[in-house]
Amino acid sequence: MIPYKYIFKKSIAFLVVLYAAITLNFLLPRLIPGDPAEVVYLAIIKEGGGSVNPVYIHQLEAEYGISNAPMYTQYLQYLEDLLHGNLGISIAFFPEPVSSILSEALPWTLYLVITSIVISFFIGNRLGRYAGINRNTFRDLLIDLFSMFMASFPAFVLAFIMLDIFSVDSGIFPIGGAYSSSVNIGFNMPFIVSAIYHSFLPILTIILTSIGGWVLGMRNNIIPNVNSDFISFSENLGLQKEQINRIAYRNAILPNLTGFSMSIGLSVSGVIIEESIFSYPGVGLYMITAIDSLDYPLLQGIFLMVIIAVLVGNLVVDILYGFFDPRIRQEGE
Amino acid sequence: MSLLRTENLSKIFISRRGLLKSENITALDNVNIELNERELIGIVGASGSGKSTLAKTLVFLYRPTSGNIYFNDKNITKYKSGKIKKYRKNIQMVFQDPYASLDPNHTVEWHIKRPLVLIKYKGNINERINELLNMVTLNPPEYYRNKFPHQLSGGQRQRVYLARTLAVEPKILIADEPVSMLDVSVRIDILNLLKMIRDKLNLSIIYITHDLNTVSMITDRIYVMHDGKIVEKGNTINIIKNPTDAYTKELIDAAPNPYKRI
Amino acid sequence: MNHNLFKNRSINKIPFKFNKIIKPLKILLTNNKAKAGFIILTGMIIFGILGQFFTPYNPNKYEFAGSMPPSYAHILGTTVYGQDVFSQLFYGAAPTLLVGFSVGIIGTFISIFVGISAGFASERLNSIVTGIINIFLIIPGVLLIMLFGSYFLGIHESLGYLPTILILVITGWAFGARTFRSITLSIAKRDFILSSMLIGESRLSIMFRQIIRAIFPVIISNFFFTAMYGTMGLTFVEYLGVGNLLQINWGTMLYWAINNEAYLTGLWWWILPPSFMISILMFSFILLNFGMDEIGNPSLRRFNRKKNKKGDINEFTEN
Repeated sequence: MIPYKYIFKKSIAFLVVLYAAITLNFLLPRLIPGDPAEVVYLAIIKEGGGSVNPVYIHQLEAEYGISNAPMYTQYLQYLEDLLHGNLGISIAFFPEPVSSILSEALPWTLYLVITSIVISFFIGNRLGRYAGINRNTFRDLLIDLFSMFMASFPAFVLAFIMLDIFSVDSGIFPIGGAYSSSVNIGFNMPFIVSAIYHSFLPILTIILTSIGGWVLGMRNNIIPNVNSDFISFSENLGLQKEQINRIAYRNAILPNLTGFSMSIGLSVSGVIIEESIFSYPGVGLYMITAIDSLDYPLLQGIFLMVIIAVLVGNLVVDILYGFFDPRIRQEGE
Repeated sequence: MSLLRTENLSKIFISRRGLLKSENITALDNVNIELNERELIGIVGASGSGKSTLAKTLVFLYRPTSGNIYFNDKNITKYKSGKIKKYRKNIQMVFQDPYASLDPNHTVEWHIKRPLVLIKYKGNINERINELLNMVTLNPPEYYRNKFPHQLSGGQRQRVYLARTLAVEPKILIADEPVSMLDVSVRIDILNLLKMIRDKLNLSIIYITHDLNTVSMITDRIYVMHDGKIVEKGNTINIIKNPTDAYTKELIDAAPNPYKRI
Repeated sequence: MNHNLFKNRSINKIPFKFNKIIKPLKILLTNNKAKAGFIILTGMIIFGILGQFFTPYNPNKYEFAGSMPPSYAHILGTTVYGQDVFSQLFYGAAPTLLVGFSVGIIGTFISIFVGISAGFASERLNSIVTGIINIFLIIPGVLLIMLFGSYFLGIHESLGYLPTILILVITGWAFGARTFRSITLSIAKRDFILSSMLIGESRLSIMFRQIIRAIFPVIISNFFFTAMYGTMGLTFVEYLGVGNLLQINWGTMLYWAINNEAYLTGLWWWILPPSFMISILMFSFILLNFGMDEIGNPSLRRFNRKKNKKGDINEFTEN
């Protein structure tokens, strides 16, 4: 059975949020006093002196959205460009179009995000289950303290420490990049191995910093379940301890699944930071460069694309959730 | 002239099961009841028969799906929030569970003071609180005023709640299974209190219960409900002695009778 | 009689008010996690206050030899620029704490307002507000910080403390709002709220007089979560270099340490102290967050250890 109504509802919500994000992206620089794009544009013109090529000036004007046209024509132009996949031209990587930078960088970021979310969700829930079932034992305390400490350690500091120990000092892992230059890009074994090898440290770091939330969430979800009446009932029926724990776990995991789609946004935040530290060629690395060089077309392009990716991720998870949980109801009921 | 009257009152709940399936649950099915001034009527039925839905519909916590409600022969079914507020000054409800109906974070005094403030009570609020507490036989009032609900027994809480509703000075009181959560020993006291309140304050009371023994003690007339329908109505004694409907018979047979031998 | 009564009441009132301050604290200290968090946080606050008056050296001055390892004169050594690390750490505690607390307080206020009104309003308003909450949850906060920060850099401004707090509140309020909304939805169906609607209380009055009090532990728990987000966010803002880097706080300390590659050049005394102070602070926030959660949710409370050897019977104790 396909939950059309539910999918329809979620898709409408998706479109609304998408439109809001697109509009926000347009409005944000224009709302900030003394339009930053104009300031940067003027600075570039000034730097070039009188000798700047008028064609280049014209192009810059277009890139930075400098025009005297009324707001709504600018907005319509912006939407039209978007529809054609035209995100402008990067300034830091001139004359590379933003869209081609994104098509190179985004897959790596998505790879990091998806892998780390899935692994930390899986391990975190298992650990949380273990801690919850053995609540108030020394093992529980150990897992709790570890999770809390990991969640409280600044992610980028951990990344630097890992980089220092495993890449710089011992040379076990590479210092940067997504794959070794000696392999051919494509679907072949050496490339895949190289990609996994290069991404090991970033993924490990993201997992370490994000696992705490899952562990503690799962632990707090499973304890009321373990203590519930139907579990004591099953105990009295003589069910095996392992079977009972499985029932409690299955009940506890549902609220954690809703948290899954929400965690995508947080994970992306983490990944962007980590990428810049591990010199991993995802959007995070480009973003740091873009901030340094005030490359607004690139920043806006990344902002938009990442949000679209996150929204699509949410939509997919929500729809899967609709198939998965037969009890799904209207929010708030 | 009836004080409160319903005309073919129906309430259908839509319960979503799964993503597409939805099931209609008819909680009330063309219910006609009538309450006269100074009357104490009973509504009897097993759990799930729609008694509580009826109570909540009468105080507009639920909206009826169809049918009409008349108060003083005025159709009030379509009332909106402002008018509902005014209407609720005339009708109050006592909930089943006195452990849930009092706010655990507030004192007894607060619970009785708020309605007095809200109806803009003219006299001395302080004295009025004592008066109300005395009325529900919580003596001495000073002892109870600063207590929190968790410091009181179930019976005491139900009395406090009764005082809270009486502070609004309603014309009608709906008591939704007010004693079913209480010890048997205090049930009689609360029921006698209801009766006394009716006599003293000229209130009309709808007493909702599943317990035929208590209903025969205090009510004048009863309605028997089954699956959202009124299956039998009339004088309490007559119905209990000569039930005509099959369901009523079942209900009477199921009630524990101290004189019947097994 | 009347006069007497009044007297009685005024006497009763005094311990009651006093109780209002003491009681939440007592509750806080019944939970071990919350107790530990509270002690650490109090220590941090004292550290922060003292740091404004008693730094051994001027934290802003570049007056010593650079890159000195810890010694008696400089217990945490000096930076490459010749600043005393301990003085910076000591002095930078207060602003770090202040940003965290401000984000916590402002963010919690917004999420109380939005969350509770969404949970308690009509169905249509509820779905609209829920949609807005979800948008803010979905958008990655770091992206928004980067975008804002770069725009500020564009107009030759860096994010000072106020804009930083603002942007962190914007990106951080939604978590709490979501929690409050779902809790309010369940509380709004309880009899004691229905009862207040019946006696004619307005929705606003119920919100302020009853719902906020009923969910108070959750509010406190959420405050600590948002404060944690604020502290973490401050370090992000500083790390990205979009903040005002001349301000001294633990975030900027990390920025300078990292940008001078302290981790590569072996200046561990520069990078580790701020990292650990931040994580200890965050740790206390997390402890308080989860401790308050356990207080607000009785089923998470500790159970009596003295359970049957067979492990079947759990005796519930109030702890």
